[in-house]
This record gives sequence, C-alpha cells and structure tokens, in this order.
Amino acid sequence: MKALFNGIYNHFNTANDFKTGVSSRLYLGYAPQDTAWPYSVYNLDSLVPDFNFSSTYEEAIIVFNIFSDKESHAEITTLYGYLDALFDDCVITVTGYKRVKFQREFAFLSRDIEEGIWQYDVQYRVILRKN
Amino acid sequence: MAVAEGRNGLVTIVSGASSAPVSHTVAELGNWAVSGISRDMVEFTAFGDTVKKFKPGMLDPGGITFAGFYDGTDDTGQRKLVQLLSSGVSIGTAKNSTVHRRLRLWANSDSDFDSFGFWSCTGSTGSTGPIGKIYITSMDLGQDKNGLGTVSFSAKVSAGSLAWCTSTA
Repeated sequence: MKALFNGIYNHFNTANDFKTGVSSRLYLGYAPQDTAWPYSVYNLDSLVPDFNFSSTYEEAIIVFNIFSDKESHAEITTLYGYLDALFDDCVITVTGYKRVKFQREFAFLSRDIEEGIWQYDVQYRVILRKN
Repeated sequence: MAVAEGRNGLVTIVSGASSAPVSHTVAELGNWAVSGISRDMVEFTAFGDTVKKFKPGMLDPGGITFAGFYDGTDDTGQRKLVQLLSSGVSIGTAKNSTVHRRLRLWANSDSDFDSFGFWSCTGSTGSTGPIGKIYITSMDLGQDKNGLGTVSFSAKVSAGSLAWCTSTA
C-alpha cells in the first residue's frame, strides 16, 4: 500500500513537533544501523480489503514504535504526545483514496531494562475509500 | 449452471425515456433482498368434507429491502429514495416518462460474469407502462461510534411481480 505509506510520511514531513522531536527520523519497517536517538519506525500490521456494491475500501492497522535511550520517561512520553497530536483523527492525503478514519486504538509503553531503552508502541486503525 | 457472485450486485433507479434510459446507482449499498412473495389460499371446505380444501387466491408480490452505508451526497440514489418515501410516489411510471421508471435489483451487473441480469417490475411494452409499481415504505438510519453510518430501505411491490431481466432496454 505504497500510497498509504507515502501519505503517512508526507503528513509527518511537515513542520510539526513530532518531526522536530525525532529530528526527522521516521522510518518504514526498520531504522538504519546506528541511527541516533530518539527515532520512530512505522509498520503495516494488516491490510484488509472491503467492498460493497459500488465502493472499495481498505482497512489498515498502522503501528508506530518510538524509541528513546534517555533514563527519564520525559522524552518518550513527550514524543508520544507529539505523535498522537499529529496522527490521531488526522486528515491525511492518500493518492487515489479518500480518508474515512485515522484513529488511535491503543498505546503501550515498555522499557528494556538491560539496554536502557524506552519503547512506545502506538496502533492506529485507518479506513480508506477508493476514489 | 450459472451463479451470481454477490459483490457484483447493485441497486439502480432508471429514469429517462425507454429509448434513452439513464441508470442511477444507489450509492454505498452492500445487500438487497426480496421476501414475502406468497399466494393466498382460499378455503372452500363444505359440510361433509373431512379434509380442508383450498384454491389458489391472489399473489402478494412481496417486499424489497436493501441496505448499506449512508451517503448524504447521493442525490440521484439515496436522497431520491427519501423523496419517494416522503411523497408516496411509486417507482414504475409510464413507459416514456422521464422520471424514476424502474427499480432494478442487480444480481450481477458485470456482463463478464455469469448470471448477468436483474430483478425488476416488468410490463413495459405499450404505453401503459410497467404493470408493477414499487413504493418505498421505510428508511432506517444508524450511527455507531466505532463504525460507519448505515442506511436501510424497505419497499413494497404492488400490482405486479418482479421478473428476471437481462436486457436494460
């Protein structure tokens, strides 16, 4: 679903707090080796087609992972707030589709004690209607 | 053997003269059904009979339901049906009328697949128009915070039966 990936990145790649917070480090699928902290990765968890007699829909689950190496939770929780402000219920432009819904479903915060890494997983449900 | 794939269904309203029909798709629908077609049976049991006796009476052409997502911009489909419901005007008018002449329930609207055709009130030959008429009798709307707005319509077939058609002329 290249159009959706492009739409998400284009929405991210404007002037906003989340982009500034991760210093433009948002990657699809995986981050390059030795990426500086903090950074974020987004993935497509599932993509289910739907249809009725006259229209076609795509229902996607998009998951953002935010990573921080700070000892304090302040950075990761701030970045989560920035991410959600940017994407929850956002008006995203996806070529060839009309946005129906872009809504957060849940978020999960964890810390890897051994590595000293905070990780925030945030899941969104996206519904698109084909033009 | 030829079966119709459900996703190729459609509900259309036809307007314009029969020589130049214009088909309007009712937007965002996902199912339709015809039910309640039945024939009354008239009892004529008499003294001395030990088992009731019946003769076939009149046919009830049944009703139609169709449903999907609400589309408030569908002027020639969903909103037209609301107007017909409000006014009590039927679908099924004179052959050369330029208004809603037909309601078509497509089993398969794609001629590349089996069972291309639709159910509709017929009787279009001559100047009297179709024999059957269809009245929109109810509309239901629904809205759920986790889903999309829904709509459903019910209709009653009157004075004629639905028939299987393969020609849009």
